[in-house]
Amino acid sequence: MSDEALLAGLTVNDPGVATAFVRRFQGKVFGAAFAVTGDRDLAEEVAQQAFERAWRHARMYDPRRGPVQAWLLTITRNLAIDHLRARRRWGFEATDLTDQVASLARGPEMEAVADDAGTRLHRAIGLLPPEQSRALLLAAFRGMTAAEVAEAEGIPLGTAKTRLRTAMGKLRASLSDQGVEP
Amino acid sequence: MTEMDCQQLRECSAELALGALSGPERASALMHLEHCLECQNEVKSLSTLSDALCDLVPSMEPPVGFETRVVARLRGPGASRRHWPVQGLGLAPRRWLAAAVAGLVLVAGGAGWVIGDTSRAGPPSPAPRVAFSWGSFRSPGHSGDIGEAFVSWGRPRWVFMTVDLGRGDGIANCFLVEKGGHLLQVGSLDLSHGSGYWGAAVQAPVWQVTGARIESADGRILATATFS
Ligand SMILES: [Zn+2]
Repeated sequence: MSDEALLAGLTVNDPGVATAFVRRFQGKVFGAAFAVTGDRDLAEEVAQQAFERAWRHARMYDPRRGPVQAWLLTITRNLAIDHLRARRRWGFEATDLTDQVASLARGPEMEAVADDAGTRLHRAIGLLPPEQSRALLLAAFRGMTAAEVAEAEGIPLGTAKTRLRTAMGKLRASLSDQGVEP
Repeated sequence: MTEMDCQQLRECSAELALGALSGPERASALMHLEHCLECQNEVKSLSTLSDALCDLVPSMEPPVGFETRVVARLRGPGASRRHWPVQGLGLAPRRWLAAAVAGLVLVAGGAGWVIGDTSRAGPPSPAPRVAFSWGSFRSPGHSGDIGEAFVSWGRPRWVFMTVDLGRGDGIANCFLVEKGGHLLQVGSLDLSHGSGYWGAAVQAPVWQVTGARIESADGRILATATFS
């Protein structure tokens, strides 16, 4: 069954479909929730809420905006960031980013010879100067504004903005120049 | 609040796509995007990249019993709250912008909210300058901002509210406060652990709006915002 058909099936309240839907995406959703929160318990709560929200809003999914998985992962990331922001207000520290930068830059081993968009993006992250990839991940996976990135990194606001802009520019270029020799 | 020009928008489009702009900056960026197709395309392509980044995160085996717990939750007490048509915009706040840019528009219909699509409506006509109202939500029990409210005075008229109270579940009602204190209910949001969002195009006639308010179902004021 296609992702779209499965999602459509969610709207008819069939427990079999719900189980199949959760089974298909739970690894990705839990992975995304954990990537942001760095905490297994919180990641489970976020992942459960993400599925609940997807189920409740299944009819709002618009295939022209992207695949089901991207939609679901965006819901997950935003929920996780909301939780993280709430915790940050109460003084919880965000987890260390070093491992995450490394794993995003490396990508799965088997991708070494592949040339899909994901692989190119992994490579492009690996080629970013460390300060740029850190700024990018703080914004993308910690929900930090440029001002918060500046404070976390101990750099001027203008520098944080430049790092974010430059990093996004390079990554976008890596996606658009497929098949072109560097 | 003043509208950004193309140059300023380009300088912050990456932050915008990542959801990393503060409320007032975002509002003045949105003012510009309402009528600049070129900048819309720029932000759209960066939003696609932002989604692709999300997709890179490796899968992880969830804890034992996860699947059973999720399915139970979908069929549990919360399930009875489910009703169609859905009110509001089924996207998290940071994505609201991207959806608006992509031409997803909610139109108030007789029975509820109907999803419409403006992307086939042809190139936008040179729109009149659109004003924005923005304010952050405050609550007696909290220090600092606990959310934000936007109103875009264009056509359609967008209203968007997001709040995070820290705790509490259930439905809360969203109001605009008109000059003189009259309240107009424009929607409702579903609080989960105190956090919720709502956004839609509103067709009700409203003017001289001075702020926004979120109330619990039993009429307690949870948060108020005064527009700057
Ligand atoms: Zn422009």
